[in-house]
Amino acid sequence: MMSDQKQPTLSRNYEISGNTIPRQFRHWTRMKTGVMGNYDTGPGLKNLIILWVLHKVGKPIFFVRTWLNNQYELKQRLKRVLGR
Amino acid sequence: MSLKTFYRVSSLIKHGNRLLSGPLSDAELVSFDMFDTLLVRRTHDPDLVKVPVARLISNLAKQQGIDIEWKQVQEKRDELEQALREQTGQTFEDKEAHYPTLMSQTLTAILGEDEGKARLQEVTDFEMQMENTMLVPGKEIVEWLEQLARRGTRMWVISDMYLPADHLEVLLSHAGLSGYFEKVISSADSFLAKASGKGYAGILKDQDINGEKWLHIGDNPISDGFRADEAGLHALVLQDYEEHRRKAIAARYYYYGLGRGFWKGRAAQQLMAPIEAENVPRSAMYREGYNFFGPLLCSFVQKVAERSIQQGITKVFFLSREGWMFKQLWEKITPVLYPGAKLPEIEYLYVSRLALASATCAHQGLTPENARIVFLPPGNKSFEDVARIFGLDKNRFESHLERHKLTTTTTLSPLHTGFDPEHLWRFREMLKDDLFQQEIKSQSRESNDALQKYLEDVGFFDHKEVALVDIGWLGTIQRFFNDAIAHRDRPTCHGLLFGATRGITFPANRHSYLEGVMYDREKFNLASSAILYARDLFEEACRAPYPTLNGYRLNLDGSYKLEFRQMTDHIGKSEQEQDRYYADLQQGVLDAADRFGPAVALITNHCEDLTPWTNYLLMSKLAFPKRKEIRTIRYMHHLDDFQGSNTPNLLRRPKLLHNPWEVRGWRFWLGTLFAGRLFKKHLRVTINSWPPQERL
Repeated sequence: MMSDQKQPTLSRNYEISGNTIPRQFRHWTRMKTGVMGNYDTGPGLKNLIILWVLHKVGKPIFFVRTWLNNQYELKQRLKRVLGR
Repeated sequence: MSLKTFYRVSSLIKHGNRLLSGPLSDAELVSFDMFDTLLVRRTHDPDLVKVPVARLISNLAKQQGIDIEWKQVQEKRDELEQALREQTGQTFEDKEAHYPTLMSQTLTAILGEDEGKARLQEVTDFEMQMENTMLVPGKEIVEWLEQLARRGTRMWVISDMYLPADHLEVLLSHAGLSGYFEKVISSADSFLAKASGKGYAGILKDQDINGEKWLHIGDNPISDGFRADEAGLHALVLQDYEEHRRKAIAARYYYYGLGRGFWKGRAAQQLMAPIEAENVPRSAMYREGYNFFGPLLCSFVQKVAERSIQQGITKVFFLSREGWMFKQLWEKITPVLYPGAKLPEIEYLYVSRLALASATCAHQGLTPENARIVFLPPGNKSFEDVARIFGLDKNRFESHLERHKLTTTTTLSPLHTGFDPEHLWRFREMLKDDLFQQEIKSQSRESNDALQKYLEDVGFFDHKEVALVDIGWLGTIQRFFNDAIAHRDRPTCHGLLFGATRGITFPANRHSYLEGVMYDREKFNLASSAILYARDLFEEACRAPYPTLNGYRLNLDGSYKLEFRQMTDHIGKSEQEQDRYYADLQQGVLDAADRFGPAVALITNHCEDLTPWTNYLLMSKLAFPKRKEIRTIRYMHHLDDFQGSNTPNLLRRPKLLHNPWEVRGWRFWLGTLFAGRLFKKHLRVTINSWPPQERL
């Protein structure tokens, strides 16, 4: 029996515990190299990569994205510079 | 007056406290936006909640003989909402809608005036229920509300929403926040919204509040920021980037699911995941229950419900002891997944293989097929085991056995030493002996009579189509059940199992059949065959925490009683220990079920849409598990009431690689290290055993 360390059901990276994107990636490689059964179309490599990025390194990306979205003056200035 | 944007809840609260203890220490009012500020949504798109509501209206229309699909209902609702907003826009600057008017118009347009009015409350309640399940109070904001309330701060909720204030109060009350707020204001009541700034102006005019002493907090930079600032308020705008990220991830899963069926189930799991204060640290058992067993078992129950509706089943019997879990899951998920649909009645039925075995011989005697079932478990050896399983007094058979040159201890199983085919032949001859069969029938009569009374009591014979829902695996319970009631008029029994391994051919007929819903050996499905790695695990995860049924007995007054196994012996105590160990996991499954229904209702209305994901869950968790997962969730003790205490003499080649779910020590390590090799073996066995053939 493993040590019963309590952890949240949804991780800080919004991954459901015990079923992370790397695990799905490993399974995707098995699907591609052997007979594994019916998974409809499967997860798709591109989707796995995008989701891994969002889960793993999404924090700084979303901080910058949200900050930029709220820089209205900066946006207006950029639009003027770019002539749009 | 002032406007500031924050990217974290904690920094907003810090600044808010600084303001309220400094320049705004004499604040007359602190107002909050409701959605995405006080309450966060599980979904990225609030309109998704309208989908199950449209399904409910479609089902209500079908009951009236009106054939309309939910998408058409949704289109009608959108069309009417647009018209209502345009109409409001002619008088007011904000094109607001009013939910009761909108829903009333929608229902009248679809169901007719009288039925529309009659159903308005039911539909509104359902929409509120769906909203409630999708809204969660922000953890840090609630803690701040608590602080502000202790300070005696006057707090309001101001929302731009088509739900009127009394509906918003219902949502706040469900979230446990209604006590903090003096007033709830919705743009649906006055058609004056924050978006145009008229909402603030109206409040300043009517309520005699000084804007300079009013702090407003919300998430919309325009409505809650610029407009509040223009009206002379202090405004704090929350642009929580972590919340944006969480919703972007949920949105990705949702949209991927539209294109690739694989992601539908994952999207449902993302929506049902606990967030904010719900997401407290839990034990590994709870997490496995919530994230693995929960979706699988709920998906099974959803499929049972769908089959019940399609096949006109009027009563579903959940068989003990696993049915204890299935029944609870049914009660949690079906009202949300099938709103307005006519669902069958449900009942928990106390059965067990041992209890039914003793009742099954009362009319037909001991059939060769049923006698052979006894020798399937390797621990059973002789007539003693036959007598134990069928609840017979072995001493009363001595003369019959003697007549056929057998004893109660003669080896009848080829797995044990001392087996002679001649003995088996003599045993089969004895089964043709009328005197022997009469003794069997007379001993089984009491149990059968008590079973009939029990079934009459639970209304079994009052239906034409019933479902018998159980975990699996051979269908022995369904077989014995049918044999026990075969002598009388009976309903058609749809045997629906979680997994059907079918070690013996089930005698299907017009009164009874068997189907494995998640896995069926007769339907080739490689991914779901991973269930075979750890069948007992599912039994343990679903099992009711009380003893198994030993038999049906008659009282002296002719009434029946259910006789349960005593839990005082070693096996009983082991089982109790096991129940305690799995309690956390079962709690995880039940908690998952609370959120499974609403999450799936938003994504799909076809239970088969989740199959690719459940297949993945089974394969990745059972065929390619992590060591710590096996160590966490595998059982310690497993009671098999059919298994005898004899040790078989199996002349098998020693194996190097073992199924890691079944072994410990170095074998366990090897099994997990070479999971791929074991899977190849599983693959070979599964493919070679197709199509299934009768083993007996």
